[in-house]
Amino acid sequence: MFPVTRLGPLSLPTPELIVIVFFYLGMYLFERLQKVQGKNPDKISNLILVSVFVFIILGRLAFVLENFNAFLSSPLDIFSLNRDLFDPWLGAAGVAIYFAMTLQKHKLELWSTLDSLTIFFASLALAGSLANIASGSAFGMPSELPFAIELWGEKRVPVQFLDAAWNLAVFFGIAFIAKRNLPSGAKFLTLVSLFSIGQILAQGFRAEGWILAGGFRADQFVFWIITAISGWLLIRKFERKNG
Amino acid sequence: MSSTPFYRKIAYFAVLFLLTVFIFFTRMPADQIGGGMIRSPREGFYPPNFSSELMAGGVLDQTTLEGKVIVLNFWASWCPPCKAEMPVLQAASIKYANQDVVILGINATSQDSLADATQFIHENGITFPILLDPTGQIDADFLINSLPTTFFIGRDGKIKQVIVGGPISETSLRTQIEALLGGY
Repeated sequence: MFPVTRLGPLSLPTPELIVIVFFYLGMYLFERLQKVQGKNPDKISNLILVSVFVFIILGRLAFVLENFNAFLSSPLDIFSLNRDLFDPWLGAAGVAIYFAMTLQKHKLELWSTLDSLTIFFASLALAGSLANIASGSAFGMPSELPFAIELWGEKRVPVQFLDAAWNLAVFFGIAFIAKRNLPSGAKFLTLVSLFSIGQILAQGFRAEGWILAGGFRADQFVFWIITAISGWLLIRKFERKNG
Repeated sequence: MSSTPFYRKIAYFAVLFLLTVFIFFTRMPADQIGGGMIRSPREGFYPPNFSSELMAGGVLDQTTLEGKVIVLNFWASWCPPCKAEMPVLQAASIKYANQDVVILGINATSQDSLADATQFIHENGITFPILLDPTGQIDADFLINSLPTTFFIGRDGKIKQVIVGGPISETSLRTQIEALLGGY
């Protein structure tokens, strides 16, 4: 809807700007919460910042290897600023491996680390929704509803706004429980469960996505499984705490 | 297990059941899959019509584009990144000339000087077709709010990728085209 922000002579991609702003907001809130709880956030802060570099470098490297022939005649394009020369999945896989190695190296406990980062992840989830509003991606199906919005040539369900409202509520919910003494992993699993439920609901009104036989939406099945697993783990966490 | 309050598990299964029902009732209607026949300037849709007069004279015959990969580049002569990526587009138009790939430029003539645009095309030896948009109608239909903007259209006539901003690199252009041709 407003994919580009003009700042004088500069044309900046609004979705990416939103993600960067909320990345720093999430980092700020994470560090503040850690300090309020008397913990040192440095190790985990470094983990996040290095993860960003790992994501960018491995994502580009993976794309270069996948499209090696394309780079043979212009190898300097490896350093091109074009965002589409990137494999986000392999970048994310690299981050997961780096994350696991760092936890082991610094003897950080997985669930408590994820708990402390929950507010950061909630901030990124909200950023994703707002970025979709900016870019017009993840748009809704055509609709005659009174609150439908004009987008891509038709009146549509304002699914990006509904998704953003849900993730905003989740963000405040996570902020509310951030200082509470809950079983290890409970805060992170709460975020995953609520985010997944939100995605199942939002996907139900989206006009795009991977469609299976019978018109079923693949993303809904994936998030249903994530909800089922995270919800069950959450129950088990409280079960163990209660003895 | 027995220490978990019964209601917690009931709530868990109730939520999963309700989500399952929701998934069933929100299946995608067959006529909506892939954006249907709606024309809209984004991935998954057929592009708006862009038939217009050519800078070289005459009118583009859109039937010649059927079944081909199309790269549609919106540009203006006052736009530095647009001018910077023109040689890359020109090189691609020559490289893929015999492979069912059509590179088309659309000059934002309503906000450009036709004389400047024509001079730039001649001075830089650009030979691929340039469409003119003197009323800004094509710009408006494609919701262009930044130049350059490049649309990649597949053989099925649907938009596969939109790149806003530039200059696009040679490799980026080549990987997009090859992907649409089924290469790499």
